[in-house]
Parts: sequence; structure tokens; C-alpha cells
Amino acid sequence: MGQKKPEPQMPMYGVAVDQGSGLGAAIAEARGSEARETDLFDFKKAVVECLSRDASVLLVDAEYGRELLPHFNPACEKLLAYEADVYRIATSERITVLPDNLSVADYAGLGVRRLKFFLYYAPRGSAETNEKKHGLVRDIGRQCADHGIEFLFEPIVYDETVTDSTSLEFARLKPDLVREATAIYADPDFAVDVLKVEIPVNLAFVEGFGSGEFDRGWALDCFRQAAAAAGPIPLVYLSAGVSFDWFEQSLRLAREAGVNAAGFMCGRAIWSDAVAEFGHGGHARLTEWLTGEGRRRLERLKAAL
Amino acid sequence: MKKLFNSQETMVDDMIDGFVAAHPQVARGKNDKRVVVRRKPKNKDSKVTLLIGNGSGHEPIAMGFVGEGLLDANVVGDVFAAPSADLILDGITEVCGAAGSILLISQHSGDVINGGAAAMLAEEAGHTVKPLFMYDDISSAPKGEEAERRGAPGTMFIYKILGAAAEEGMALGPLLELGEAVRDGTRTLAAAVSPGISPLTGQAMFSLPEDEIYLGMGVHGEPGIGKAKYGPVSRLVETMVAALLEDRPVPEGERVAVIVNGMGGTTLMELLTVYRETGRALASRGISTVAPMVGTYVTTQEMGGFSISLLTPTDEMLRLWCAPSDTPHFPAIKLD
Repeated sequence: MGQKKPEPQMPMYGVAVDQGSGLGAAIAEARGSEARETDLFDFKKAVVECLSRDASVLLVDAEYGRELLPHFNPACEKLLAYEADVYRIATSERITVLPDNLSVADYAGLGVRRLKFFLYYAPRGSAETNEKKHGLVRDIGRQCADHGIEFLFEPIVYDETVTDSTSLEFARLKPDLVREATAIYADPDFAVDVLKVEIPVNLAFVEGFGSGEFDRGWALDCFRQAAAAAGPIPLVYLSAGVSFDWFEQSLRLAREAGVNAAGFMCGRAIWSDAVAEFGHGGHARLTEWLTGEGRRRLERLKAAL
Repeated sequence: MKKLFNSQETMVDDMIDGFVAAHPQVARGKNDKRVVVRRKPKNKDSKVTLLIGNGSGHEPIAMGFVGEGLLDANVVGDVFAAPSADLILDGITEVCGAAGSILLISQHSGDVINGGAAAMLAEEAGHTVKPLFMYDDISSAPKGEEAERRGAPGTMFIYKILGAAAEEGMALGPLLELGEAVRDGTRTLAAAVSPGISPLTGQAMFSLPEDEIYLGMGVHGEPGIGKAKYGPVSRLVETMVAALLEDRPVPEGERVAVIVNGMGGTTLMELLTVYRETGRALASRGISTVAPMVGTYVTTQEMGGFSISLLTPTDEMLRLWCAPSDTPHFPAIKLD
């Protein structure tokens, strides 16, 4: 095997709509009595149809992805998640559940050359758990290499003792956790082609954005150090549930810090407000919002980076 | 689409509750409720045990094949999700004794990754466990790259033949060799005519125009050879048999064991017609059929379609294929 991988497509101006049951619940709540079984698929399809015109890459999930692929704009790269619903990660080790209805070997037949895999990772956590996670990522990396599929890996950091990820205590830890996770998975042993990483600072505690426990210079240093840990591996930022404005500001900070980011993958930050539009006005309002505000937001993120 | 579940969160456990309550051959494991075991196991220090992990949503495989003369345990994952390495390890711990175990792994990425990890963890814990990778779907990789293919309903030949041999006391090494020989002698090709509906999303798992069928689709809707025009079943089966025999030629005068498996939404009336046409297509080449298995065993919800699996058996394989078993869903296979 060992097929040739596609050329990395940079910069990566990405939109993600791989969310599963969590998004489904939010849509159902917004739609109220109008909720239908097909709402989640319809929402994702609208995002794909409206935003794949301007995004250079768009990420869909394993469950709905196959039916969404035909709706991509031909110029937009297809990125398919290799996970069962990430909201179903229930064990204390937080190991991602793998789909049994999709194999790495299937990607080429689906016309997809890029795979995304998500994993919660505690760099300072249990060595035994981390060894399992390393083995898992290594195996997926190897399969991607065998089948000529680009491997985009997304480690989301956590700490086993500081469990509130919105706390000041976690905000102090986060830059180091992101840097450590990035450094570990940049090792060629994992065969990662692109690292999809979190913004290393929580803007809620940074001077000029939030309560100001950390100054701007500290934040810029955090960006530089975390990015340097990636070495030669291209690095893209994910929005990880922050608001659009803060994600845009984060990308500007990264640029100010001199980080040569390869792009971004933006999910909820770009389309979360569309959920309410879908709830209030159905499909017509949804597509109107996505083709208007949604596309404007995407252009703003491109400019910010 | 109306589906009869209490909730997404409980659907798998509700199903297992019903399964063990309905069938006296099986019980839940002691250590993990997602492990289904034989209610009356043989001495695991003298019998090699067989187990497999798989996502749910494909019943009756594989928990329906737990019982005497077949599997010792099935590790049941979430719907269309590979069971974790830890869960598979629980299954191994449950059934592995001094005689050792074979972890059957139907080749799909998630099952291979998690199964491989579980086997390694089990070895580290002192168990003797050997993985057996199963692949038979000719549409998923070209001839010459058989080891890259995915597992398909032809893997049932391995379940049954190894299950019967293990029941008779065959040791681990010879069992593995037998399993590899059965695998290497099996080929499968599927045709899908309509999608199943995912119990997670309520959505059809693929779309297909009324006048087309999908040739080579995997049991989960994975891509295969491609779409073809819908037409008489005799022509479709002839095409499929020709492809199977091109991939693994069978000499004139030889016999093959046949599985015609329904994907969940195809009637027995149709499956028997497919078997008739399969027999005719083989007979026209001077090949006879023996000990067929026709029915709905490896499913993807209500997906319409079927697969044809051919095994060129040795006399010993054929004897084991037809040996008695007692499981909730594996049928009695008759020689004549």
C-alpha cells in the first residue's frame, strides 16, 4: 500500500459541521413544535450548500457525511470525520468511539482524501490511558498513510484534576497543555499531516478582552510557544465553541504573535446563530442567513488570519 | 420513519435485555453488560474460546451466533460504532482460559484498531489471545490485495467452521490455520437495492434511484464497485457469480458452499430466488452447490439487498460447516 497523499491545501479556510446529537438537541429546541426528524440533516445540508462555495475545505461527520458529500461545491475540499458521535464519549478515559460503518479504506471510494480524528487528551494524565491514546492515533495515522489519506488530528486538552475548563485555574494551565499536546503529536511516529489545535488562551481572562488576569504580552507568548511546538506540521486553529467575535480576535492575536498558521476550522462560531434562524423561520431563513451573514463571517475570518 | 425504540441512549441495552430474556442459550457477562456469553459454557481451560466485537445495528449477527458450536462471546458496541478496546478486553477476560482465545475481527478500520489494541492488552494481562482478521468482500480491494478487503457475510463460514472445530477440542494453532484457510477460500459480493434507515439519525444511509442498484456495497453502506441498472435478478446474479469466480476461480466439477444473505429488508421469497439463480449460474459452469445457507443474518437495519458468498470447502470444512450447533439464530445447515 503506502499510496501517495494529496498535496496539503493551504491556507485552509475551513468550516466544520460535524457536530452530532448536541447540535440535534439545540435545533430541536429552537424548532419547538415544528421539529422534524430530518432537521439536523437539513441544517447540515444547508451549511454545506451555502458555505462550501467560499470555504476551501468543509468538515462533515461519519454519520451524515456520506449523504452530504454530493452537496459540496466542487471547488471545496471534502474532510470526513472518523468518529462516532463525539457527544457519546462517556467513559472516564474519554477515548473517542470509532465508527464501524466507515473504514479509512473507504475514503477514496467516497471521493474524500482527507480524514479528521478528534481525541480528548490530558498531557499530564494517566500514563496508561495516554499510552492507549497514542496507540490509537498511531494506528489511524498508519492506516491513513497506507491508503493515501491526509490525516488531520485534533487533540482537545483537558486536565484530570482541574475539571472546569472555563475556570481561571484551567486558563492558567491551558497554554502549557496545548503546547505539550501539540509537541507530542507532532512526532512523525503519529504520521499526522495537519494538527487542528485549540486557541491556547482563554480570552475571558486576557487584558483587553475579558477580566484581565493575563496581559496581552503573555497571551502572545502563549500563541508563539504552542505554535512552535508543532515544528514542521501545519497547524490550523479550531473555534471550539467560542463566540464568533472572540474567534476572530483570537486569529488576529495569532497573527500579531507572528504565528504562521495554515488556516482555521470554524464550526459553531460561524453558524451557531443560524440555529435560531432555522427555528424561527425554517429553511428559507436558514439559507438566507447562511448566504448572508454566514458568508460574511467566513470572509472576516480569512481577513483576520 | 417510525422505529420502535425507547430512546437512543438505551436502545442497545434494551435490545440485549430482550435478547438474553428470549434465548436460553445466552446470558450477559459477569463483568460487563455489553458482553453476551454462552449460558452454559464449556471448560475454558480445555476449549479454545471464540469471540468477536462489533457495532450493533446488524442483528442477528453476531450475538445471535453465541452458543454451543459457535461463538463463546460477543462484545456489543453502540449502534454502528466499534466497541472500545477496553470493552473487548472485558469480553476476552470473561471467556479466555488456559486453552486460549481467538478474537475474530471482521476487517473494518475501527474494529481492527480496537481489536488489535484489546488483543495486545490481553496478552499483557497474561491471556493467550490471537486475532484472526477476516476479509472476503471482493469489491473493496482488487485481486492481489485480498488482505486489504473488508469483512462481509462470508465471514459466517469462519464463525461456524471454527466454532464447530473448537467445540470438538481443536487446539489454538490448528484453529488459526483452519480459520485462515476458510478465509482464503471465501469470496463475497453484495448488491444493495434500497437504503437502511439509521436509528441514530432517522435518515436513509444512502440514496439510490429506483432504476439502479449498488453493486459491491458493504454491510454499512460503504462504497463498492458502483451503480448498475436494475434488471432481471438472473442477469444480476450471473454478473455477480462471474465476478466472484473471476476473483477466485473454481474448477469445473468442483462444489461450493453458498451463503445468500439478506441485508434486512429483502424478503425470503427474493432471497430464495437469488439462491436459485446462483445455483443456475454455477451449474452452467459445471460447479455444484452444497450445504447452502439462505436467510437474513448480517443486516443493516432495513437495507434492501443481498450478498452471495462462495466457499470452496475441503471435506473437513464441509463437515464442520454442517455440524450441529445451538444458538439463537444460526440455522441448521444440511448437507443434502
